[in-house]
Amino acid sequence: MKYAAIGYSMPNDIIFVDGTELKGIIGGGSFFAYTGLKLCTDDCLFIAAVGADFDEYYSEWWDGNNCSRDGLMFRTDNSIYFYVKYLPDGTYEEGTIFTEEYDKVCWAENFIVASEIEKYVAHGMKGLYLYGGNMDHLYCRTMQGYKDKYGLKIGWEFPQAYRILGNGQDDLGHIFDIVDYFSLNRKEAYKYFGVNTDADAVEELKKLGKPCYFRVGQDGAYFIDKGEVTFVPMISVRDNEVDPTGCGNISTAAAMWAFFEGYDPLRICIWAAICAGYNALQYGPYPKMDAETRAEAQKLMEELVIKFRK
Amino acid sequence: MAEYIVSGNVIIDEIHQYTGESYVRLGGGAIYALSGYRVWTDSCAFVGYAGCDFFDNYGEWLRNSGINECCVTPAYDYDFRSILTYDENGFYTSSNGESFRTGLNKEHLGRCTPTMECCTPYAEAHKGKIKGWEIHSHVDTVFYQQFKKLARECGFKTGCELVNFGRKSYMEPTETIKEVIRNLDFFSMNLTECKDLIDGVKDLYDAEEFFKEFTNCSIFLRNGTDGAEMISGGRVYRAGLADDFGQKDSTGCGNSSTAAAFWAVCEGLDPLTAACIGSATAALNVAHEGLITDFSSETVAKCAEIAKRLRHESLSAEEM
Repeated sequence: MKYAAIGYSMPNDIIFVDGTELKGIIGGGSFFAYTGLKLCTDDCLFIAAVGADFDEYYSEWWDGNNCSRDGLMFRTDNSIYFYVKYLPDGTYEEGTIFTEEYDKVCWAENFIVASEIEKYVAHGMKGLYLYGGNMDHLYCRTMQGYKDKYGLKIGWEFPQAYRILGNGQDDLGHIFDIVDYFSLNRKEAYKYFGVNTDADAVEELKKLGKPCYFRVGQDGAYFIDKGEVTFVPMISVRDNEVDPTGCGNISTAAAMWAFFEGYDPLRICIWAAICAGYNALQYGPYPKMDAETRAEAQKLMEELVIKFRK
Repeated sequence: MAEYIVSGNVIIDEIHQYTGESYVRLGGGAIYALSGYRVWTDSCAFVGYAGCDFFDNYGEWLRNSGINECCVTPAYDYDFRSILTYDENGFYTSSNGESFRTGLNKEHLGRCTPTMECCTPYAEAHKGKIKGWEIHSHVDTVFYQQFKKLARECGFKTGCELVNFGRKSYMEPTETIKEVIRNLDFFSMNLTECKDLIDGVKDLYDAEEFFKEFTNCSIFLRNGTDGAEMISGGRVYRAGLADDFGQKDSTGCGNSSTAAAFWAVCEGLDPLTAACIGSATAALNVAHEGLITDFSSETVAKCAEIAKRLRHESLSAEEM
């Protein structure tokens, strides 16, 4: 496969303020990223250690979209499974539906060590999406080896949380060293750079010198590369958006694909926003990831390119 | 290649004594189990996940023990470290919190857990040559279902030692244990863990009755200072405990005795002998501070003598 997302899957129960529930909504940051890639190309893989009950939740979407099972490793008895409970004040709480202890075991056991990834990347893989700050020096050294050996490129979604070392510095430098592209959101950028405006964050990202897709929520997103900054506001594919969960993951992966495929910055921004737009149309991923949807999305992208260039 | 394999946790204990003295003690259930194998065979190996510094930490012990092969998949920068703080009465509190340099804490310990991705390449490369493979502290039944299939394809027997896994499984602990045993040739727990985890088990008799149902599997039930027993084919074979080498530290006795008993079962020895071999191994383990370091032919011969004596004592007690 030419592209892959590696990470975790995670079904969710959503509990609304009025007490109604949606059960078993398929999700997980890396899974959403995979769906973003799937909207870009059929030539993509989800590499994940999953629960034995994976099919109970994912098979309808998975098989309906002809997704490969080559990257799935069945390790734990149950999937990592969260609930999201919306509260009357507009906030929400979330957590595991199992015990905290079992949840921790699932996260740890479902971690895929870098050496187990080689068989997937060794046959012409072009781009790999990674998420988070859970990658130590060994992991990054191994990934660098795959880059050198196979010409792999790495896209990275910046973590919500990361380790601060004893000297007060973050533990992300070795990750930055191996990535060819990365993405982060406004909250993450403000915290990381110690800034409080988008403009300041953009300046810091320019200084960092890595191609970056900077997401600013409902306001849109920037693509920053070689000192050039491109901005596109949020794009609605249709009017009936219901749930933004996963849009950040999807747009990160879609922008990665577009960048690695050589799209220009405007197209990268528009394409990523369109892919996120499809995801917002329902709870869970867009149900139909096929050539027809891709053609529709591509057509919309070209229309918007003309519009934004005017 | 080795005939006996163990996969599981590798943990180094940082000991902090109340006197202020601090030192490092090599450990981890899988490594203690490896030492138990080594008493009886030098054809043994660890196959699993560990830190990049595994051979820095364990290399000397492995070399001195004559263990020539370990198939380590480096999974993180440094081996896990558990910080044990002892008081003047010899009791300790264990902190699996973030260690001074590993960056890994208890939440990450599951990364040591064996996986099919880790075991399969070694098993397939040595198909037909491995005799027994013990898994240490893994509670996901989906793993055992796949591992059983691999074992049947590659021709080895499967063993497992479960430690108190609390609520680490989504299933009720009793159901987890039943499902794990259904997929194994050999299983071990201690009585305290049985009482904690298995519904209706309040004493040794209850535990024996519970395990007798699993006629597919030899169960090595450890009972601390009261010895151990093998439950096989619906019968119970009791082995006492020996004190021939003296007593220093009981850490790892359960792991090493389990591996030794599993070795004996795989070698086709009768259940009582297997139980006695387990007990004899514990006797050697308890004489060491940390891992067993003495695998000399004299010591091994003494262990064999102890096992023989325990077997005789058990049979004599039965006759009475």
